[in-house]
Amino acid sequence: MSEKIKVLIAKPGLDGHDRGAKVVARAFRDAGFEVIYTGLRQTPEQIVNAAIEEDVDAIGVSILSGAHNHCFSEIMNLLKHNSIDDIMVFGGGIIPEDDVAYLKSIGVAEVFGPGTPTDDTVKFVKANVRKGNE
Amino acid sequence: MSFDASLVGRFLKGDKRACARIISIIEDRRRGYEEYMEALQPHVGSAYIVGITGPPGVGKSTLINRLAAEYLHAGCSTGVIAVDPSSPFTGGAVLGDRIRIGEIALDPKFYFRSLSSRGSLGGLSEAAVDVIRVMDAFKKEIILVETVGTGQNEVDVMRACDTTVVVTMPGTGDDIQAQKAGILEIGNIFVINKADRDGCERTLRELQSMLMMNPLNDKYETPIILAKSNIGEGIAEIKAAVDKHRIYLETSGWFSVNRAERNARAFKNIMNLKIIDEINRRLSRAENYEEIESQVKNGALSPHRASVQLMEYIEKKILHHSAE
Ligand code: B12
Ligand SMILES: Nc1nc2c(ncn2[C@@H]2O[C@H](COP(=O)(O)OP(=O)(O)OP(=O)(O)O)[C@@H](O)[C@H]2O)c(=O)[nH]1
Ligand SMILES: [Mg+2]
Repeated sequence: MSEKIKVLIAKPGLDGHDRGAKVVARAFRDAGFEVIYTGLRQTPEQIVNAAIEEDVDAIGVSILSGAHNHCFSEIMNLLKHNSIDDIMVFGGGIIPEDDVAYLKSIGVAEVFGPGTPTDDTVKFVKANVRKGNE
Repeated sequence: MSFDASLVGRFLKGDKRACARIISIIEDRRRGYEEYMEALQPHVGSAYIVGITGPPGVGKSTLINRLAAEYLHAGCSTGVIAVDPSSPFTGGAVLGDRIRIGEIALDPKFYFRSLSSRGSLGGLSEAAVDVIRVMDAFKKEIILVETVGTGQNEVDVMRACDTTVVVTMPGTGDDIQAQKAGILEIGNIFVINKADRDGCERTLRELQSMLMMNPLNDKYETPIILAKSNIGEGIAEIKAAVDKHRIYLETSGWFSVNRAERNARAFKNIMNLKIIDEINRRLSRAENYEEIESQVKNGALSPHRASVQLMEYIEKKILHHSAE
């Protein structure tokens, strides 16, 4: 058997905007990835715990509610707190340019906005996760 | 990657990340995975394993969330393994059973792991069974295993469980009929979930009459439990039924008989897979293998005739050769 790229698709926050997360999850599945989908309203603690238990290569966060700076920085802090440096964090949704720069400065690998072709996100994951590089 | 003894050390101290990594190594059958199984072997055997099976959408994950909460509340360290089908075309999968896990997710005594069936040639049940053993060695006292109740793979996974709970719901009379082969025999406890829905009585009667066909057992009567998992109704009854079945197994002696058979079956399955792999590997080096394959493809040779030829080759060149 082979090693599959494994991605957690997480949807933090209290809002119900889950279309983007589902579109991305399906595209990843079709690209042959294993996707763990945790559903709506996940706290950063739940997201990081799920990433640990499932031993994923990447956490993909979908945020359209405007709470991205807070959510991403919580996730990055929790990962650091657990000394995890081999899980890539990336995401998408409604995130203004200025904030994208901030998110990258705290270690978020990439942010994909509305209208991104899913092929681009698939290619990005393949090129940037631990397993893809081996 | 070679065997990492410090990973096992961390695992035995209860480190979740080490457990997660070892599960991946074993699930993926990475090179040398057997060494990890070997290292954990002395720690395997104390968990009680409960299989939860049933058709898509009956509420297995919802039920598991509630049942796990019940066990955690009783102080039991609890693990869940959720097996989900993967796409047979791409091998990819969306594993969504975690969605139903509520606040217990962050309980330090809880561990949840999703497994995809990977559309591979066999091996799912074997890998799942090994992952059960890893969680057992990780000192989970109760392990709940979710599978969709169709196909031989799933039945094999259920046979690796001590107690099997078959979940159905009202209005699925035909489903029960379809599942009859295999599933009805392996069910130790039946749950009609979504009992809030119409048709519950009828499903109950159908199930009762089907269970009458099972061989008579005067020591254990297979219970049928009505549940509304989304609001937690019937869950305490399910837990009590599991306890009762466990006591029956232990007092009747079946517990150890089943486990011995399970070990023997695991051994046989592992050997079968390895033998097939090895023979295929050597067979593909046979000088006329590609020739035969292309003749089968274009219809010049029937698959049966080809198999006879290759079996002769195996007999003469592979088996005979190694016997010397
Ligand atoms: C559809 C929609 C809804 C639907 C959601 C249905 C659902 N189940 O998802 C409904 C009608 C329920 C809804 C409700 C609300 N909405 Co609304 N909604 C939208 C809308 C119009 C489109 C979102 C969408 O589904 N796009 C389609 C998907 C496929 O695109 P996407 O999510 O952007 O995803 C793509 C990329 O962003 C990226 N991506 C996304 N996630 C991820 C993750 C990863 C890992 C990766 C790699 C990529 C990636 O890839 C995807 C494919 O290209 C947006 C406006 C907009 N143009 O985006 C507003 C919008 C998101 N909503 C908004 C608001 C305010 C609300 C409400 C609060 C409105 C209200 N006042 O009641 C409520 C919230 C209710 C609640 N409890 O959630 C605001 C948010 C404002 C903000 N961020 O500051 C927006 C931006 C509208 C606006 N301009 O004001 N909404
Ligand atoms: N009405 C009702 N709905 C329920 C009950 N139990 C679960 N559900 C709902 O049924 C749906 C499916 O539940 P899941 O727990 O995901 O079912 P599952 O069997 O795990 O599904 P798969 O893993 O996809 O096979 C969810 O929307 C649940 O909320 C119940 O007792 N009554
Ligand atoms: Mg499920």
